[in-house]
Amino acid sequence: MKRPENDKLLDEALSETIGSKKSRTDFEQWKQKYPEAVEMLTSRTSRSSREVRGEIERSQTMSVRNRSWKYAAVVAIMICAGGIAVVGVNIGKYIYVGKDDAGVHIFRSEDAKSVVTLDDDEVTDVEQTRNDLQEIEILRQQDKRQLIRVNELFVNGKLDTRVFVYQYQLSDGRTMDMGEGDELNWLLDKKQREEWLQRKKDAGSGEDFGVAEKEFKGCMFVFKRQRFVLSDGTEVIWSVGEPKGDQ
Amino acid sequence: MNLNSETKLVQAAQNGHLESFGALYERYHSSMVALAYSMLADRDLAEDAAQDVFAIACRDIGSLKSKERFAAWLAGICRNVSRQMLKANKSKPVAVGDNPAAQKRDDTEDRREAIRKAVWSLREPERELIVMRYFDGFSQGQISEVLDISPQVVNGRLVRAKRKIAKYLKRNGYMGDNYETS
Repeated sequence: MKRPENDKLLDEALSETIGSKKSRTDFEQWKQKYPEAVEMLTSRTSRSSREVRGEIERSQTMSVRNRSWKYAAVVAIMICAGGIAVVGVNIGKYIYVGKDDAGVHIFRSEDAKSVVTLDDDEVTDVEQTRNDLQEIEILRQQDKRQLIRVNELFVNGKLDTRVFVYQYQLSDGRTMDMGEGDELNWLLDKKQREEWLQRKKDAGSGEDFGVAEKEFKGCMFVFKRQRFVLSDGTEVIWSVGEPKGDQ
Repeated sequence: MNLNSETKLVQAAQNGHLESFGALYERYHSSMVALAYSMLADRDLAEDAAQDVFAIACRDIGSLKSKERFAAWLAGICRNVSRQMLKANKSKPVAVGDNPAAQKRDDTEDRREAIRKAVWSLREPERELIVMRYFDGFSQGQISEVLDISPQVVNGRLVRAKRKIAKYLKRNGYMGDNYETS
């Protein structure tokens, strides 16, 4: 019965040979070494409200590592109408227009059918951004993407907006999420929309309104719903659906 | 490990809460160093790799869907980072010890060298287990979580890996230490 003893000997030899003197775990030092990564994480709070606004107020939102890229409504309208049901692949060239008075970067497709606006801190390299947009446009035309989320907004029981969020895998390995408007009825006026966004921001979340299941594109989605009542009595339900099984 | 509290930490980090990410860093830093070390066979490189792993995780945590699988997700990043570092350091593919080969060594150092060689001759999944177990003394539960395999598999694989190490040592003349195991 020497085996336990032998096991112990081997354990000791392995610990002695590859054992660590405890690795240096210093988060403060790490933060100083990677300020950009820290900035990306800490800016998520302010971006999340922008993202929601982008999804609701505009027809398309593209996020790169949680940054919001907002598309103008014209593209979504074409998608709703099936206007971009392309068999072949068009090279979707984008042109950098420049910055507006608020410092927002503006890109537009060569045919002027889509416009993308990005906040100043979301563009570090204009040429890279332009290339990303072009690659995404090609992937979208080829339908090489995954439906990862569906966002819905209901006003007094009627659908205000529905946005499909697709994930794209770029050739360099990065993933990007892009929202495409599906139903855009715009039932809330500007004042109501601002009040809802502010309330959502302040409260963090509204009243829990339970979950619901719906099928989209052959996949079952589970929606978590939140209810808000605006000062004029308007009921707003914000509903975020993710594929069943990813919950 | 309280998975529920960990899920909350991940959720908070996804919402931009840096302190929560810091807690995750403290919790998993040493296991990422160990995992990187199992591939790189160099402690300094492994420390560098672990720091890069958390930079990527910090940047991309929003893309993590299954919050309860944070450790396994982190381990996936760690393997990718380590492979890239291996490519960039092709001259050092296997562990040869921290002392230069030319240095005069005593029997103890020879034996350590043989053990290192035995460990790094294992297949990657077994080597990961052995290094994590003995680098910082991680429990089978911790290893199971990071490597995303059941504790039973961890146990079985550890036994097999140790048996292979013992055989390697026996073949190479370290019979005197009688390492043969069950």
